Amino acid sequence: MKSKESIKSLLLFSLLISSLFLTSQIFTRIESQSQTVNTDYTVWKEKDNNIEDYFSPQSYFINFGGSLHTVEYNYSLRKDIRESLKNIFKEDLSDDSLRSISYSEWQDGIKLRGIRMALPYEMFFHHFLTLIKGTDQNFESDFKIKEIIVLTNGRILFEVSDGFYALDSNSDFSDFSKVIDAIELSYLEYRRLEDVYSLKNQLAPEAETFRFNNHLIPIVKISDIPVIEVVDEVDIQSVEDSILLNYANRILGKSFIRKVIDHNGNIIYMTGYGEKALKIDHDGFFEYTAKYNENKETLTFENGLNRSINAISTINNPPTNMYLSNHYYYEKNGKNINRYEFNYSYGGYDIVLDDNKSSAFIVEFNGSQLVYLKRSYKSFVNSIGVSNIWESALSFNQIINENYDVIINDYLVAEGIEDFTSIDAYIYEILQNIDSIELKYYLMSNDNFDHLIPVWQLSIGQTTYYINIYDGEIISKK
Amino acid sequence: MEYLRKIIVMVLLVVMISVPVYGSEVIPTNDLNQYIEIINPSIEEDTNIEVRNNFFVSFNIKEKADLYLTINKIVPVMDTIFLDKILSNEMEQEEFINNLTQRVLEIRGYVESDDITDENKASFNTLRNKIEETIKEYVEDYLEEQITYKKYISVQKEVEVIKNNAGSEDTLVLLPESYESIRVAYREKRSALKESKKAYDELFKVSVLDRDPIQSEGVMPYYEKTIENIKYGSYEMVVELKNEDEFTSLERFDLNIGPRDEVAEDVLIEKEIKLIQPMNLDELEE
Repeated sequence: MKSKESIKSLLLFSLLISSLFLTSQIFTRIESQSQTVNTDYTVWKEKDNNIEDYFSPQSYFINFGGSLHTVEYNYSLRKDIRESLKNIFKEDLSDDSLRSISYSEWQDGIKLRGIRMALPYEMFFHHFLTLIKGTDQNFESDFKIKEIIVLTNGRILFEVSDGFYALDSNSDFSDFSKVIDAIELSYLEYRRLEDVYSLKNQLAPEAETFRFNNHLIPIVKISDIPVIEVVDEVDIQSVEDSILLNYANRILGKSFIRKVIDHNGNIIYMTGYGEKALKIDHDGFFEYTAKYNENKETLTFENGLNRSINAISTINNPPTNMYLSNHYYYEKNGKNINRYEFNYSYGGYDIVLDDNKSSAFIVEFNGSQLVYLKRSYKSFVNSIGVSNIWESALSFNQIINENYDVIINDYLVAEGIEDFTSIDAYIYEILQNIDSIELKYYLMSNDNFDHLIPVWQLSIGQTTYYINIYDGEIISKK
Repeated sequence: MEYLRKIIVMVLLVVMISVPVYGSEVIPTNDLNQYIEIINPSIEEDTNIEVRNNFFVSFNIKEKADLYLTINKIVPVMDTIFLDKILSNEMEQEEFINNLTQRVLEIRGYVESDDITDENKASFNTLRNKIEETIKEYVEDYLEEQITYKKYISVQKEVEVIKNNAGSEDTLVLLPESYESIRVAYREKRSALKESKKAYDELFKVSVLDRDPIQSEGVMPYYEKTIENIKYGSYEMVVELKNEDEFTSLERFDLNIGPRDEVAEDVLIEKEIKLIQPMNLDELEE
């Protein structure tokens, strides 16, 4: 009887010991998880980047004087232009430095020797100065710049959201002039749409306030832009698990818990109950998400940009020709999200992803918390010459002719015009409504190969077309 | 009756109004502006066209017609100094004609070679003879015109003297018959020279674009042509209308093509070269 009691006591004691051990284990795990949450971005690279290296206008329109233009795509010359801007914007600027000018003064500037640069997005003036100088800059007015014309005569003109401004600079423009001289040695000639088609005469010859179409089209044949063969940055089908694990460790730290393969075969690594997750998809694109914390800290523009570059670099080094393509704030789940977008190029031509979704690299912050990262990058494999297939690209006239049925249909629908009887008569209106025309690379993916196809990105009214420059086929539109 | 008169007047008015409208539709005009608007080159201000590498032509086609564009480069020929040498017996006329014929053949891309066929040789010789004949005709007309011009100038001076002495303004009354015949002879020689010069000038035109049909493609109502890597200098641009196998020139433009600030300067230099050019025809450059 006594021995039976002893066994019971022993059992109770062992149960007590086990419960104490398991409870302590639970406390230890919770402590470890809370440490991970608090050290959100300690796993990210921390480095001071030269943010000037990540600034690039969207377009570089060079004017040699009068109607002689070219569009510069060469990476090295573009870099020289950006370098020369540093000298020009060296002096401190204030609101008083700028004076408002008329549209006709802006138009006069377009015909003078200089460089017109369309910014990738409507950029705050102080952000523009920050990107040129490399450190956060202040400026009283909250101008948003669309285009800049820097003239060799020492004048700088700005097209902002609500008008035009001029800055008469005393800075040294000699380096800037030298770059134009260098470009002038060899270039493809472009002309303004207005200069080629005389649209004012066709549409409103008597109008005093006509907005000229200053976009440029080539007047010579374009050839020798190769097709580029690219591959996934990481191929989840064939790469070893340890390599994928290495990416997960870099982004999530060592504390990730689960690996999930979704119904599409994409691989997702998660910490805890999905506080942080890294998805690597079939295209080798990376996407990181984190649950929003209460975070009231604010990032300066420079600081956010620097951390964005570091975040992208944590996965792999960014391409050398990556540049800031967009930056804005928006509301999500009651939080004010700070979003940086980047693009990159091959041979000077920007890359457009085949789903037209957005930029190749995206980073978002909630306060100072990094909550989203997307890296959609393809690695260069091979350059494929096309001269044996196509002698040269189609002319701009041919591009419009080939696709006029589609263009006019979209245009009339967008404008709410129901009279389809005399569609040819809209040609001048369509040419006048061209908002941009740029050479780009369009990423086309199929089961076996990914290719970058040279395209015209042609925006007319509300529609953007991606048109193969060689055969004139519309690859995509949005 | 009054009513009938009103109707007749109204019908007459309608007919009178319709005639010019109908007429303008059926009678083809030679007005270039009716068919096309020349956008490039911009020739509103002057004929100096700003070009670095490419000569760009664009027309807006307003009305479809059988139009053709020709662009010729006009090779500068520094002949005056040599013709004056012939006049002063410092140079042989034959030598000049031979050298110039050879030069014309060169700028037109013809080279005499030993291994050409007899047929080609015959056509080459025909061409050569034709060029030689044109030059000869011009040279002779030039020399004769110059001789009669000198006589005419001396007559003019004499007439001035007579006029001053007589104190009369009516020179025709005072003009002796022999003087009048010199004046008429000079006018005839001058008009003959004008005619032969037309054919002679044609020899120094090198075709850059030969009767290219001015047509639009598809929906774009534009004709465009880019002549890449064009040489700087003087050009003519001619727009012709074809009507039943006959070409009628609608408009001819003389153009000086070159970099913006250098076009006018080039022309001046060219004129100076004409005066200082040594007597070596081989040195004649395009």
